[in-house]
Amino acid sequence: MKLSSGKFGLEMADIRSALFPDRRLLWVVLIGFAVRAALAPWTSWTYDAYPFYQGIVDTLAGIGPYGHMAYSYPPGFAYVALPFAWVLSLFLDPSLWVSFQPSLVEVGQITGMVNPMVTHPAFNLAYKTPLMIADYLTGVVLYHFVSLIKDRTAARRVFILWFLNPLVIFISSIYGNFDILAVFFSVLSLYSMYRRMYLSAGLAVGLGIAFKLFPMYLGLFYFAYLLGLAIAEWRNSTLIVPNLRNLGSYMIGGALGVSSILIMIFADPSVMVFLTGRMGTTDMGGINLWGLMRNINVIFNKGGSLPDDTVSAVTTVSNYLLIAILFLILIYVFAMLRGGKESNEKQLIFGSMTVFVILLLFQSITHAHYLLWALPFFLLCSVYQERFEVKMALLSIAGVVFWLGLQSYLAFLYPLATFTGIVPVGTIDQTVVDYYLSTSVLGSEGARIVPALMGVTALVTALLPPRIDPLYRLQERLRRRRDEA
Amino acid sequence: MRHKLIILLSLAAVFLAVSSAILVPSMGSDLELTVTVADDGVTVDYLVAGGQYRREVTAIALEVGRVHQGPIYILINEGLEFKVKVSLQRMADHLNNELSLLGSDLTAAVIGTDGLPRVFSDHQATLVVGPGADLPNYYSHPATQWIEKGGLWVGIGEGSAPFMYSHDKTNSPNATVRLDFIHTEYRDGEGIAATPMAKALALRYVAPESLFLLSDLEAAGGKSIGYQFDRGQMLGTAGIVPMGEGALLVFAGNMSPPPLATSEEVLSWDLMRILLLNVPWWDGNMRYQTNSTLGSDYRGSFSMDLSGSQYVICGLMSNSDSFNGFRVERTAVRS
Repeated sequence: MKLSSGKFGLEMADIRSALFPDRRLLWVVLIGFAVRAALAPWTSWTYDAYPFYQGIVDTLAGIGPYGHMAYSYPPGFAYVALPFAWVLSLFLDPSLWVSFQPSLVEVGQITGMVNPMVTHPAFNLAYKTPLMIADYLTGVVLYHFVSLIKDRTAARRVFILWFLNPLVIFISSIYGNFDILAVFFSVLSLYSMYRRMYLSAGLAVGLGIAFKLFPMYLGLFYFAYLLGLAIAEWRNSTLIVPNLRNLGSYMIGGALGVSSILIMIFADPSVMVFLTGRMGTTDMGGINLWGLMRNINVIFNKGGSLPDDTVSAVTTVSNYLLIAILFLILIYVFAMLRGGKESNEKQLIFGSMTVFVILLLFQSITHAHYLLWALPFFLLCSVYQERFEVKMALLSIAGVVFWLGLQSYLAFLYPLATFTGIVPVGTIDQTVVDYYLSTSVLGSEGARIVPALMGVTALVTALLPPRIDPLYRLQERLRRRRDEA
Repeated sequence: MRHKLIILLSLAAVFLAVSSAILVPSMGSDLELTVTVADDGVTVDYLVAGGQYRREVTAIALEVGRVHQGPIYILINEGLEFKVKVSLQRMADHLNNELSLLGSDLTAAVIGTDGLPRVFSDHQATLVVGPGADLPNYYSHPATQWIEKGGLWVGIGEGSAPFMYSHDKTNSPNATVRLDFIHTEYRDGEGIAATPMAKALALRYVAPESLFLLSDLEAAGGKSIGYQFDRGQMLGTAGIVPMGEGALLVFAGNMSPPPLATSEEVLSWDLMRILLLNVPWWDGNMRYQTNSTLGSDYRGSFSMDLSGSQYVICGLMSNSDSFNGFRVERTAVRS
């Protein structure tokens, strides 16, 4: 009895040290959670919060997350948010989770980014809670990862840079999108690859895809890496079986990870409409090369949208992105395998970062919150090359400023205004419309140019070697000047 | 560590997989509807089972001249704006996904203009045409003939029917139905009233940008079934115009958002209720009751006089997002 309780105690200590690895981070954790919990109920992006509400409530109604087709993502988030929503439903009836605000109808017609259905603060807190937890867990994985690569001091620094990062807080707790869940599994997948736990790596990639589709690109990279390794070491008879076993473990893990999607498609093939719909988007712009083209068009032609033939060309190019990325992945893997086995782990980290940077730069639309996909990988690269910290900072600022620049920061405060009246809804309506229609440099169009430029600069320079990275050279020059002074 | 991580990830995969297997769409069985027709009236008895969440349900009875439950075709032609094409395609997805959840076996298919002969040969069919489709003038006659023999033409906004014109008929000399569309604003809902049918069906298409003149609708022999805007002149969001055996169902707007997530989402919601209850053939009395219940069962009953129509349609439908329920009974009154 004593023995088993002792073993149980050790297990618990293990779990505690895995989930809370460093006591010196206690205040960081407390502050991080306090800020998130304070912001989450009163803020939302109504345009996206409504589909989340509909998907979750449809599931409670027994018609699955796609019942009214408002929720159009892989099913993972609806399932993860469901228990939190169910607990909320014990205290607040779902009929009160959303409120129709007539004045928002016209604001939505003007900006195209406001939905007149405003979600209740308690619902906001409920659906954002798993996102806040994922923020933390991603930080924990990063901590363990960096401890492994370097030391606990560096791990602490990376955890703080992650958990108190304004973009991370903004996306999960203010804007309220669930990219972080897929990011968490992407980071976990890299961690598993690094530790040569290939079944876990496949599982994590598959689970990431069950939330959003983008980890699929990372999955292809790891698949190409393991396949390349098996081919490169084909002549070594002692490595053939282990290499094939690793590849098989990874693939089995991946299949198990995406099993929820496979089961869902089997049960209801019409679901493919949503998945293919997400992949075949016709939007373009944001923080990528196409967004910069749009900005240049704004400056020189005084117009926001690009000509139809340009949009069509971009859509065609980005439709072939998967093929392009596959090609680049193969080149990268080839270069890795030629570079010597001892550097493979490091190359896995830089390769993962590269996959996301290429995706963000060239996909037809890169919403500002998509920058979160690359952020943890930039932090991991910063352990090897300090210059990535600056790029990470640029991405974080660009992401937040871009979002705030779309309709002004007040557009995020509709739940506060609707359910408390602290800020009158009419005041927000007026400010959002005035701001959106303003033609000044600080108006909606103008305010997006600088963050788009910052974001693209950080992404492009991340692909360059340090010696030709202009941002790094500038950084070094400033540092030398400071040291001389 | 290695094994613990695999176990944790496997548990996560199992959680999602089981959720996918369990949380499949299903038709609710918590509504019961009993219709009793006598010589001079109909009695509707209904039961709403109590649930964990508040359930708001409308029971409705209406007299109609015809039961029309044929395939739905959605026309996507070259003339449409790209975003309207996308909206119409998604509307077909909405209808196919959601009609089955309402217990209907109706399906929607997207067609081009080459599919119109197939539509015009089926007088039980419904054709949905978007704003700015601007079909050539020569479609006016076959379209009108098809409707008069029983077809249902659903036109959304200006330019959605070749036999309909707005303001002038320069581009459509054969058009016979005048319906002027006027741009207006929602103005926080000021001066807007719901028609009894809009209230009964809990229609959601409340704020299109371009509405039709109700005086034109009435001059064409139609009636308003949506929301009515008082903007100096009365404007409407949805109306029906009987034409021979068939009907024109006209919606205002240009399919731009909002309300709600997308325009096609709310249009589909409204269209499904209108179609399943045969509202385009509504030609007699209509009565409805809206009630809500939480926890305990709710039993309701009401009667309605019959005025001599061929059929009476009775429905029981949920207006709550967290409760999926829909029942409809179509009963022939006269042989």
